[in-house]
Amino acid sequence: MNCAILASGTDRGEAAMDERETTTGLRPLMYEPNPKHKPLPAPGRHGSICPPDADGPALLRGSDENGRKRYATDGSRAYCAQCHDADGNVWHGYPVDWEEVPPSLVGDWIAAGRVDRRTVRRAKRRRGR
Amino acid sequence: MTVTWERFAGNTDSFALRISFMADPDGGHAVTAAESASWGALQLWVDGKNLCAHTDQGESMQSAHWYLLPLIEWFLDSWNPLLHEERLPNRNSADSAVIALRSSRNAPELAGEAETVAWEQEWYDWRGRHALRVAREGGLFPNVVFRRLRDYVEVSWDDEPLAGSPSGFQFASTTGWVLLEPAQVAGPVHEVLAAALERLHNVVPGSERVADAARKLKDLTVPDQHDQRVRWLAGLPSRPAAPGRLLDRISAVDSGALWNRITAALTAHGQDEATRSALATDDRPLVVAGSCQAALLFSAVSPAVSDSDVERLAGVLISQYRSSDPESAELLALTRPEQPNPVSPAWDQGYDLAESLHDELDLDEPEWIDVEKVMSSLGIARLDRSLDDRTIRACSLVSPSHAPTVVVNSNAPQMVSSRAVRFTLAHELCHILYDRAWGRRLAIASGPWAPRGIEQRANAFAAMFLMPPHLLASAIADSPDPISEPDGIRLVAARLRVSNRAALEHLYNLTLMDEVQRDHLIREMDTGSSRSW
Repeated sequence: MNCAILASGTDRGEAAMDERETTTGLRPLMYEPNPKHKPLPAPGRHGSICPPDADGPALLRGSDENGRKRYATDGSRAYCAQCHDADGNVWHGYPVDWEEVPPSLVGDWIAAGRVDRRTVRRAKRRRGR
Repeated sequence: MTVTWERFAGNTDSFALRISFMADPDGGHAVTAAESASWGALQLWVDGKNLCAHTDQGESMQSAHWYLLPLIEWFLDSWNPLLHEERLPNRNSADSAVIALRSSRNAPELAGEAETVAWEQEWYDWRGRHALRVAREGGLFPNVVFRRLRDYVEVSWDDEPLAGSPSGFQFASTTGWVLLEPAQVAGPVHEVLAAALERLHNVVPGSERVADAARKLKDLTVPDQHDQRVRWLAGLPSRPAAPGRLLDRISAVDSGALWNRITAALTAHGQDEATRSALATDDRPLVVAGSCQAALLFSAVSPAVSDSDVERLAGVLISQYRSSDPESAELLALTRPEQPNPVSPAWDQGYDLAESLHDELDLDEPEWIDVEKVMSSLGIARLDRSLDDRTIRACSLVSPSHAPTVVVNSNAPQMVSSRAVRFTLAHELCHILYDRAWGRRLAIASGPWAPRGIEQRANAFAAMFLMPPHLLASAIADSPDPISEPDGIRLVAARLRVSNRAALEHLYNLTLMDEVQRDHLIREMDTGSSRSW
């Protein structure tokens, strides 16, 4: 969810905001990238790197809350977001494997047509190749 | 990056953990203060290998670098299942947990949507309790899975890439597994977590997350952890399975009720000493190092164990209790624990054990091995019980307070054949001689939920014990038909009193025929006669 913003060097103040209120707070969702998911910091200073075409703010807007995290999909890949500023309802995100997404959520997305089961199955099968 | 604090505990030859804290290179940007304070380096050493060593952008790194507070929290939240739960999710699909998770992450192809979600939920929950990567929170951790395996902790790993791994990012250790004493894992992890939390408390004194983690750390040593740990050992689920679960249906009872059924079935016999013995554990402050007989036995049966099977198996645990000297000197002399070897194939290990037992026993059998006579001479009792679960062929039991016993499940479909019974007895003999753990204890049900590695080894042992090369050679020489013909196989099997299939597979494993010949014989014998196998 970071990369679209990170690529343009946008900081928190310019991050996209969502008008929708969430169950976690009254403030709207705000997106702020974490530089450790940007391509490509020095070895030992990064985690999962966002693909260049991932639109962080849009993914956050379309994400679903599950426990302390939010999850989203672009129809082929999955993403996770974590809140790092509860008062401001500010989140950052990163790509995850499908097996890291709660299965009930994947089931809901499939039912809603946001991703199909075959895509999820194939992505899992291709892990490690 | 300068290390500001670090703690190392353990022994790199077996198991060790190192956590180092460093200044967050991004100065706490887009993370909480507590997470930023926990930025650092992780090293996990197993069997002389640093599982966190990796290559990134052409540079060799000795540690995984990330925010480590989530990792500390995960260890604390998962502590009891991590070190005590053995049974894999959905099905017993591989020798090690990391391979089992890989092979079972997708539900069977033709499963419906509800069944698929139920399958995945069980998988997801299990992984959440056992896989280090659950704590990665966006970082790139090695794929390491911890679980209990009998009285050991299994640590298994592979180098499967993560989503968002940049090209050229590769962990140094490819795949493997080891078995460790539970205290060898629990001690170092606890020591490092305690020190790290103390450090974090000093750096971010107002952090609720750090305070909460410190409370959980303290709770690990309170006495009432014992019951929870024993329930995990017995393979009792922490919550009912999701609706739609495939294969083994778990009745919708909570684990407390199921464990209560087991203990009630034991106490119903009114023999206090025998009950205490079945439930006796080797407790350490952080971990149950040696499991009790009841937990060992029930952890290897199906999650859907019936009430009557609980009662029958509990009855055996009670009836086979002995207050002293339950084993013969002959059996004690032959018994030695043989930890499964991750490097050597299970078949090789089983063959090797059978050959060494033949050397020790020096049996003078002209045509076939009378395994019942061997077991009787060693003082191993045979009981026959009819269990509802037909996938269990037999159970084995022995301890310093339990007579060495093999319980044959007369309800198992194979047990209509005396040859299958002989093979089963030889299989159980392997368990009794070589698969004991803490305190020379063993309690295992041989079926689909028993640890695969030791089951395969026991099968190989049974084949080689019942068909040693010298008897096999004379059976082949005396047969009028060659072993390339179905009748040759039948005659060899009849002479050695094993099933045709067992003889055929053994001949193939001994390279007396190739795969094409074996498959051809299987087809011929399948079509030739219904009595073939």
